[in-house]
Amino acid sequence: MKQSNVRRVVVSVTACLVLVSPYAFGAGDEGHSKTAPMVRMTTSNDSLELQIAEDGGTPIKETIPIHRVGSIRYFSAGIGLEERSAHYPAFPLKLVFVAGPKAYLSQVSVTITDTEGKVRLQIPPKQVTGPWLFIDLPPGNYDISAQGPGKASIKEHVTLSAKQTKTIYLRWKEETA
Amino acid sequence: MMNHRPHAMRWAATAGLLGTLVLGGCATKSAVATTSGAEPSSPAAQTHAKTGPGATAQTNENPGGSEALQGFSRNPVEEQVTEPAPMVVAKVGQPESLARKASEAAITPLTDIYFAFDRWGLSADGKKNLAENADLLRRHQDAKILIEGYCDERGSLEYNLVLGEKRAQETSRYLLALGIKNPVSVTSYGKERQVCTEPNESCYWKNRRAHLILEENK
Repeated sequence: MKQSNVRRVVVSVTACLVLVSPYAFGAGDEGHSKTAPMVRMTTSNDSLELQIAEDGGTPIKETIPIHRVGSIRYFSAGIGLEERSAHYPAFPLKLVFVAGPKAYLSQVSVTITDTEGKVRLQIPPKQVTGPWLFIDLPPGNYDISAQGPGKASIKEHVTLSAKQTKTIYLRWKEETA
Repeated sequence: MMNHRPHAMRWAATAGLLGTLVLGGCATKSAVATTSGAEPSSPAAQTHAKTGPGATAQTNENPGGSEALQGFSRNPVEEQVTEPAPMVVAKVGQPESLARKASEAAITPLTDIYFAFDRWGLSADGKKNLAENADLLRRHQDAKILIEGYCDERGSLEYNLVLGEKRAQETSRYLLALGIKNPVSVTSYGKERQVCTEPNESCYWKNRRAHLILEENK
């Protein structure tokens, strides 16, 4: 008796899930291509070109500007899964800005100083459009100071070596809004 | 002699009642004066708090001003009827929303485009809907299009502003690729102006959208 009741409950729950799933997961998800977008990237002097292949359509092309201060280059990316699935040039430093659980942050201002206290790079928040920031710094020891919008400054020390990308997560405790 | 005492008591009670009414009246007016000065617990102050910072700021700018004092010559009922705060709030809040609703009702209905979580690329359904929108836009080639990008409530404010912009831009790019000639502009509201506020996926999905507005040229 109990077993049949359990079976009935399981059947109705399954039926409900089948009925509800198109709404629960949303037509946006439902109608989207199941395959991860293929990303091809070509590098020009001052920008990166992302080509995101689509099923049976013309690929999406996106341009990401590369900024330069002296010999140091940097660019920001990582908005949407489309940008985060791309393989970017192997710059020695990758910063990831996070606020609260799983919430990415952008518009972060970043200052990088060397061991002598000399400011090597100062990046204004408007150039940090995404939660990822790639910086082409020469090998050495650096202090990173980052400040999110309306947030306290976070400091981190990093040692960079040639031919290796170091990823630093800069995490603020709470989400912005 | 025995009958004098109730008379005396009655007089005393009447005098006391009159005194209470006079003093009470003053006290009521004093209370109203405090209310006009934005007492946090008063109904008027609560109205201010609920209706947004603009109205509150306006009250704070002129707490003892002539407008706040106008009600003193009236009885409390009149003061309540002529309470200025809600009208100020209505003036601040209504035109934009009414104009927005009116313009949205007036336009030819263009279908909203929905997006998968944390994506700005168009889905198959999104492209299909944009193709239908493009057919309609070709019949209104002089009309301007405003594309507003939106996100669900998850994620930071700044991230969602950029994501919403990318959704709007991608929608614009695809429409132009379909050959429409209309002038297109894009904007992003990120996770502001949610159409649904419940914390579930069906609600999140409704907010992850590009909203197309057709603006007839005048």
